[in-house]
Amino acid sequence: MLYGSFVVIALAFIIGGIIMLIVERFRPVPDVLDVDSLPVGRALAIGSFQALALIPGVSRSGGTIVAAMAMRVDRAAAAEFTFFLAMPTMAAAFAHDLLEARHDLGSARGAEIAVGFVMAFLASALVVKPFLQLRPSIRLRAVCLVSHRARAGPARGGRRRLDVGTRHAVAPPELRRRVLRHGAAVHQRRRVHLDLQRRRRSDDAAVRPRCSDGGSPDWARRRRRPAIVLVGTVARNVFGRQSPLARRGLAAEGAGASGRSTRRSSS
Amino acid sequence: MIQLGSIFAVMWLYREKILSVVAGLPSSAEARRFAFMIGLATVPALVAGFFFSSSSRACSTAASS
Repeated sequence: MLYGSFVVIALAFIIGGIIMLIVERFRPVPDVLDVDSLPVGRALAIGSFQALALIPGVSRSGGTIVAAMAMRVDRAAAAEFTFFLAMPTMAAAFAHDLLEARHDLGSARGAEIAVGFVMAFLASALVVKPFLQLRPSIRLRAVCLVSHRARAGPARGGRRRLDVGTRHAVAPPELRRRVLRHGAAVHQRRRVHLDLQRRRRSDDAAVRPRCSDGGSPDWARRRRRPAIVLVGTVARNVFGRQSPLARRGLAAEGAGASGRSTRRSSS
Repeated sequence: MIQLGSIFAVMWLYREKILSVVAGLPSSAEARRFAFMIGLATVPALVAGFFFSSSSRACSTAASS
């Protein structure tokens, strides 16, 4: 029984990890950018993924965030929704636990639980807020703006025009002024390019620069790899000739062979 | 069971939003919609939990986020 649950947990970790990799790489461009505009149907679908967390080893928040991201919900909105979803769910789980364990709740256990409770509160209070603020940084938005101008070339009418057409390319006024002061758009564009390369894996649609026609500029487009290549890479790393597993196997075989040969020579 | 601590932390961080939703329930359609959505999205987990979690172990795993 115990062994069985270990296998389930291990499988949940592995499959969950692969799903996360795939969704991270191939997720569609989000169209829901904040929690309040989440359609009811998608909310229900995300809720169904939450139910999967009953399987041991499946992460409740991980599952819901990944499911939401696959359903075109922005990462920050998905995280916020999953936290709100946690409140009734965890309250229910707590009530259930309390009912089941009400007979063996001694005072000693009470102290343990109190310590765990306080530590969980402190840890969450410290971690959740910075996590939610992992939003596109203002600096990145500002340099995106510059890059728009760099592409647009010198604006007509002698005035420099900022392409702030999309909601997410708007920088705060103070930054906008700074951007205007620095005319060195080409230099900045190079920086955007490097910044995007560095952040390509963690970026959100919100920071992806847009051309005026709605598409991404070609230098900001993601390189897409077919899923089969991804699976192949994973498989090669796990089962391939050079994988740690295979190497260990070869090493053991080699040791066995040398042992046999020495025995044979001594006999 | 200690998960309740982290839930309180999250509720504390979102206290403004929660308060505005609760205060807006009688008047604001948006607040009602949000509360309805959260309630609706909780239903699958509650149903699954009701049918499948005979042991507290399964339930506490469900609570681990």
